[in-house]
Amino acid sequence: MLVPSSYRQMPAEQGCYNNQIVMGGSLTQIASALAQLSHVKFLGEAHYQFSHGTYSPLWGAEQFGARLSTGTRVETSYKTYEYNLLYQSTAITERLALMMVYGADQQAGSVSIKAELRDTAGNSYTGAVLDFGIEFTAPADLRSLVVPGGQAVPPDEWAFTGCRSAEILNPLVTDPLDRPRPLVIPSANRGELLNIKITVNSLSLVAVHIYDVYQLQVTI
Amino acid sequence: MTAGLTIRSTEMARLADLQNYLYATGGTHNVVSQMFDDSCCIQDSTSYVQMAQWRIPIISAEHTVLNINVQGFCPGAANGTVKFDLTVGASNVIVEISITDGGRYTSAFNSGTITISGSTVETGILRMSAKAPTGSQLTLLGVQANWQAPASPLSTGALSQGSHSFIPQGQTRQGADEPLPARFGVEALRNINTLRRRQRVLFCWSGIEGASSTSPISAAAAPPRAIGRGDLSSFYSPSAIFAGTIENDLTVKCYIKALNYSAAFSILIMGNVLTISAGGWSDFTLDLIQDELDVSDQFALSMYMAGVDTGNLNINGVASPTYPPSTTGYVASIAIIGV
Repeated sequence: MLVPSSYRQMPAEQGCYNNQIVMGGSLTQIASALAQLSHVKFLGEAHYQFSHGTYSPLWGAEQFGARLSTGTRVETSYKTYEYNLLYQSTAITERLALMMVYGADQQAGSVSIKAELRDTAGNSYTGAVLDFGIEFTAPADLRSLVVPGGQAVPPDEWAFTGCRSAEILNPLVTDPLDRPRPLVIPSANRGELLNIKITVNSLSLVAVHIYDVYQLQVTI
Repeated sequence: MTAGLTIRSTEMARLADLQNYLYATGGTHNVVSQMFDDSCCIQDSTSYVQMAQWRIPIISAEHTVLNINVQGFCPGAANGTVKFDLTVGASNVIVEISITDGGRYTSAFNSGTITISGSTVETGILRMSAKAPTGSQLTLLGVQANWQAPASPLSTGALSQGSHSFIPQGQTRQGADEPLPARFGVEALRNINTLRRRQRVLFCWSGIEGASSTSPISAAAAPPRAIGRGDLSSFYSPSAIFAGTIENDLTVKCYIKALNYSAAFSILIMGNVLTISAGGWSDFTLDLIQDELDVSDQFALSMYMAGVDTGNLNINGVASPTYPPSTTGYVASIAIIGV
């Protein structure tokens, strides 16, 4: 059935009272509204903001916001640098779209973001790999600048896996990783707490937004 | 299920099941998501220091268990400890979580739960405090929290969600030999209207207070406490707000925590000028007046910027270097909670 994305008008309650003929149209509207709730409103999402150190030789440590200038500082330590983002999925979560805010410094080295999906058995960071994932690289998928002067402060850019990839290539193959696409959650792991492991190179993450992908049509 | 065709009991049972499922599981994904980098959330005090706080939705009176997962590390044999306390109405419940890793992402994250009494209050305040063992430092890397779905079957009788109620659907009442009563239609409509009001976290952020470290400040303990001018270009979540929200009298709310308050100040959020006229938490109902984002095409949903705007009011106000948090009132935490 098609899944409506909006809060549509519901049938009048009086239409369901005693002595009224139960109309299929009313029940269709009820079914449609419930599908909107299950497959649209209650899709999972998580919005991670990354707090970074605010110290600068220029202004010290006033602790004034994550950033004073319109950029993010790319520390020299951000090489094969890892984050583990925890995400509580839902029973109908099939694919996860990622939208990332970053600043990249081309002069610091090759720029990339890798994202893979793991389970969280035993709370471990090294749980079983569910999707070996994807890699964003520059200049194909990421914008990076050459900024002289050591630890650069490039402007924010956005990277996105998209939601509507034509096909999922190799969720269980490590080399080469797929180009950006939504991550795939095996049916056995839906509804579990998942770990999206992100590895960055010469790049500072500012935010990562995680979304269950809305499917316009489902089989019920 | 189509107009003009026979209504089978199978479909009725599924609709009843789906209502129960939605009440139990709807909105049980992340309510808190935040990462801390560059040792900016670090503590060397051996007694608890409050470091962050978030406003979170209480999604129903039956969702009473909050799962909290913390990532961090503490070099040496002894463990650091993180304390979370959740204030809901007049009650306050605490959990302490021991941080077991000795290095950054060495092995495992740590978990705890807070169990509250069922409440019809719409939001609660989750505070995070931390302490280190003597002679060491506790570095926190990230926090995630979500409500745990209640077990099946749901409790009988009317269940609360804020000031609204939900009537669970008994499976034996939808069988083939039972009449299709007026009750089913009326309750289904009311249940849908209740579930449409269930809150979703669109944006959630806390500044960091009280960080301390034996490391030089150039390497640690220089966390963001307030919003910075540089944050504004991306300090929002692209979030779906569904058509029909306004027509169904549903609202998006913004909760702001002000610290060091001395005089009223304003902030621009989702096109709304919000004036903060007291210290502590203030809440606002937002007018939905923004334009859709281009990325709506990809999501096939109406996506909007849920967060802090880039307008001049913010550039020259709350995010201006002229108003540092050490001398003026500032925004220490923001939550935007929609439906």
